[in-house]
Amino acid sequence: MIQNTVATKKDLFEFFLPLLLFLFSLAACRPDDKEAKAESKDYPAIFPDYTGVTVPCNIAPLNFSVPEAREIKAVVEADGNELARLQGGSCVKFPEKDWKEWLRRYAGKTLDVTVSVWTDGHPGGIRYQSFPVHIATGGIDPWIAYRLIEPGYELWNRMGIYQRDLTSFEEKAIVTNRQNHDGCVNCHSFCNYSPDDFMFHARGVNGTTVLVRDGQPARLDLAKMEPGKSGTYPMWHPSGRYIIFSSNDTHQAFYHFGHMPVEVYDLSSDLMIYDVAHNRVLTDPRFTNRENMETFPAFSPDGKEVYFCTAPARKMPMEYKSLKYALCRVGFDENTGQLLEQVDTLYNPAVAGGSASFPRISPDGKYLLYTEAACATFPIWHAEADLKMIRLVDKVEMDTSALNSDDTESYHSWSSDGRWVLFSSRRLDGRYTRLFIAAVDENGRFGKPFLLPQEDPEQNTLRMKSYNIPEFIRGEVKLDKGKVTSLFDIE
Amino acid sequence: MKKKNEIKTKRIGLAWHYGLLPLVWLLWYFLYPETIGNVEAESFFVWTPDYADEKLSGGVAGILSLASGFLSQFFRWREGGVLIQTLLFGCMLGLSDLLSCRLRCRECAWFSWVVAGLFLCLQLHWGRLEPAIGVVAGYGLLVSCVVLLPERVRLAIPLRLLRIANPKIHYGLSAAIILSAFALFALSPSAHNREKRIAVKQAATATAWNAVLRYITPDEALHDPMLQRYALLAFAGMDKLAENLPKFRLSSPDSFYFYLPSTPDERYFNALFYRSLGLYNEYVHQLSEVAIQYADGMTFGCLRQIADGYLKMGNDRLAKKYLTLLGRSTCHAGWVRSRLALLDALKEKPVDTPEKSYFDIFIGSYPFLHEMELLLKENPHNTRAKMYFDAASAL
Repeated sequence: MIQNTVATKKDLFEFFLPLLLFLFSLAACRPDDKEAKAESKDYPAIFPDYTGVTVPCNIAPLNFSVPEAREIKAVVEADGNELARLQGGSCVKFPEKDWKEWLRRYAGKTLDVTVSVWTDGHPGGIRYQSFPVHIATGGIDPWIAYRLIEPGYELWNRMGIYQRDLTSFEEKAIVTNRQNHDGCVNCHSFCNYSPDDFMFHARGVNGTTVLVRDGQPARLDLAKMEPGKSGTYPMWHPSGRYIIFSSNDTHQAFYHFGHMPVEVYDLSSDLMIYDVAHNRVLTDPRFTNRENMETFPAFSPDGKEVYFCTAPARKMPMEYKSLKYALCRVGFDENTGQLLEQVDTLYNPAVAGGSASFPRISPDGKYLLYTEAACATFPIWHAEADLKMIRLVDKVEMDTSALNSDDTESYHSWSSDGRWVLFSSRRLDGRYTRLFIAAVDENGRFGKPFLLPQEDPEQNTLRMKSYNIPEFIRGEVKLDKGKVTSLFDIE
Repeated sequence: MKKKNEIKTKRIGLAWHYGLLPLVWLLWYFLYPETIGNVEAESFFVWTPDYADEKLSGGVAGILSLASGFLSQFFRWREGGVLIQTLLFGCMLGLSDLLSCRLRCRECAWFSWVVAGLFLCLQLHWGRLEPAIGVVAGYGLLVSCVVLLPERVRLAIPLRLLRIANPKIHYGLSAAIILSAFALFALSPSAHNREKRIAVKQAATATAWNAVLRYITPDEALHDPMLQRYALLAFAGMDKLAENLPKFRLSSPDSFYFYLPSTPDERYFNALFYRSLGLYNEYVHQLSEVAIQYADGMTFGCLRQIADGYLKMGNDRLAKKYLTLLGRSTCHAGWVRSRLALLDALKEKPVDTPEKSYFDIFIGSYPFLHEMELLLKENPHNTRAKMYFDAASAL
C-alpha cells in the first residue's frame, strides 16, 4: 500500500521531464531569427550613446539599452564576419569572453553593430543603421580610481575611494569612511600612475593625510608641520620626491533659485610643497599671501614646472561673478624644491573672460588641458564649465568641442600614454557626475567620448553617488585594510 | 490526576494567548497611526545593486537591515505596518510558548507574557523596525538552538523554576502582566509626545494648517521651540501671522526657522519653511541634508518630496531620475505613475527655470530680515516674504 502511494524518483522524473522539455523548447524558441519589418537610416537611440566611439582594445563590454524597447536584437559584425546575434528585453549585454576576443582580434578595426528594436511605436520592429565602434590598436591603463559621494551639499553619509577595472565591471573599495569613523576621505593622487605610491586625505576624528609608499600606508600630519595649512588639492612630482598642495579654506553658498544650487568658493588658498625625502614643508611667500589665492597646482610631466590657478581675493560669496582665476606656470628646481622666479600666464581671464581650473599637462608635455567656467572655482557646479586645451608650443587653442556638452565637464586626467582622457561630466541629468573616456591622437584631436561601461546600463541612472576626481592607475591598488584603519585609531 | 491537570493546561494555556493579537493590532492602529506611518517615511529600500551591495557588505547586521528595510515599506499603509508589528509581537510570544512546550513546562507559559510584553514596549520605544527584527531573529535563533538540543540536555535547563502549577494563579499573573504591558503601551507619555510631533510634521507637510494648530497647545506654542515654529508656520500658511504674532512674545526673527539647524527634525522644518516661501532649491537642499543623516543616506519621505520639488522647479531630468529610483522600491508603482503623468505634462508645458536667477540671493548668508528684504526686492509680489518681513520688522 505504502509503495503505491509514494512517488518514486523515477515517477517524478517521468512526470517532470516533459514539462522541462516543454519549458526548454519555449526558451529555445526565442526568436533569434526574428526580423524587423521597418528600416531606419538613423543610428538607434541607445543608452549610453556608443555610436561611433573609439575604444581601447582592452575595455569592458559596451552594454547598452534602448529605453522603452520591449525587445532588442543586436548583430555584431567585423570585417564582413558576423560575430554574434544577441537578444534582450530592453538591454544588450555582450558576453565578456567573446567581447575580449573581438577586441583582441579586430584591434585597429571596427565593430559594426546593427540594432533592431521592437517598441509600442514599432510593434513589428525597426532595424536601424548599423553603427561603428572603432577599436584602437592600443589599450588603456587597466584601472581607474575615484571617490563615490552623494552630490550633496554639506553633510555626507557613506563615501569612499574606489577603483574600477576598466577591462571588466569589477569595482572595489580602496578605502571607505567606515574605516575613519565616518569621516571624509578625498583628494587621492597617484605618483606616476602607480598603485603602490599614492596619497589621500582623511578628515574627521583623528584625521590625517595618508601617504602610501610601496603599498605601506602611513600618517602624514601636514597641519602639524605647517600650522594653519592642511593641504587640499595635491599632485605628485613625477620623481615621487615632492607633493605640491594647495591649502584651501573652502565654503559653500546656496542659491535661492535656478538649476544651479550651490556655489563653492575659497576664502583663501595658498601653495605649499611637501618634500617627501626630508619630511618638510616648503613655501614661497609669493604664493602664500592674503591678497591672492592660488589653487589646483600641477607638475609638468618632466617635473620642471608647476602649473596653477590664481585670482585676487574677493569678498565672497557676494562677489563670486568677478572672481576669475588665471592659469599660470612657474619653474621648479627639483634639487632645492623651490619655485623659480618667472611666472607665465597661459590663461588670462581679462582676455578670455572666464575662470580656469584643473590644469593637466599631457604626458608628452605638448598639451595643457584645463576646465573653463564663467567664474569662480569648483566648476563641477557650473553647467557652463567645459574642457579646454592649449598646445603649449604656440599657445594655440585646440578644438575640444567633441568633449563638451551643454552641462558640466570638469575634472579630467590623462592616461599614462597620453592617448586617452578621462573626465567628469554631468551631462546625463545635470547633477550626478559620471565618467567619460575619449581617445586623443598625437595631434590633439579628440574622439567621441564614451560613458564608463556598466554591466547594466541602468546603473548609470540608479547610482545615487557622483564620481569624483577620476584618475588612471597602471594596476590594482592592494592596500591592507586593517593597516589603514589602524591609522585612525584613537588612543 | 496529574495528567488531567496537564491536559487542562495544554488545552487552554496557549490558544488564548493568540486570541489577544487582534487587541494588539487595535492598540497600534488607533493609538499610534503616525508612528506607524513614520516607520516608512524614515526608511529606504530599493532593488538596486548599490543598495544591495552596501547592505550585504555589513554581514549579519546588513542582512537584518535589508530585511527591515524591505518590511518597512509596507508601513506606508497603516494596516500593513500594524500587521507587521503585531506579527513580530506574535513571533516573540510564539517562540516563548514553543520554549515552554519543548522544555515541558507549560506552567511556565506566563513568562511568555513577560517576554512579549517587554517586546511590545520596546517596539514602541524604538519606533523603528530594525531593532525589532534583530531581537526577533536573535530570540528565534536562541529558541531554535534550545529546541534542537538533545532532550536530556534540554530538560536540564532550569525553566521549571518559573513553574506555577496553580492555574488560577497562573492565569491571574498572566493577566496582570498583559494589563501592565498594555497600559504602559497605551499610556506612555514619551510615545504620545512623539506621536503628536510626527502628526504635526505630517500635517505641515500636507499644508493642513488647521490640523497643525489643533495638535499644538497654547503652552507648547509658547515654550516648545519646534512646536512654536510649526505654529508660526501654520499661521503664516493661513495668512494670519500678523494678528497672532503678539501671542508668541518673540524677541528674534530666528524663531521663524532654525538659523543653524543641526538635527534632522530642524532641517526638515526648514525645508517646509523654505517651501512656503517658494524657494524650492532650498527645500530640496534641506531635505537632502535630512535624508543623508539616516543610515541609508536617503528616506522615502524625503525622496518623494525631492522628486516633487524637482517637478515643481521644472527640472524634468532630475525628477525622472528620482522617479526611476522610486520605481525600484516595492510600493511606489502607483505614486510613480501619477508623477510620471506630471512629468509628461511638464514636457508639454515646460517650467522656465534658468540655470541661475539674475538676482542672486544666497540663502542662509544674511540675517533673516535682510534675506526677506532681498526676496522682496527680487519679487515684490512674494506675499509670504512680505509677511515675514513685516513680522520680523515688528520684533
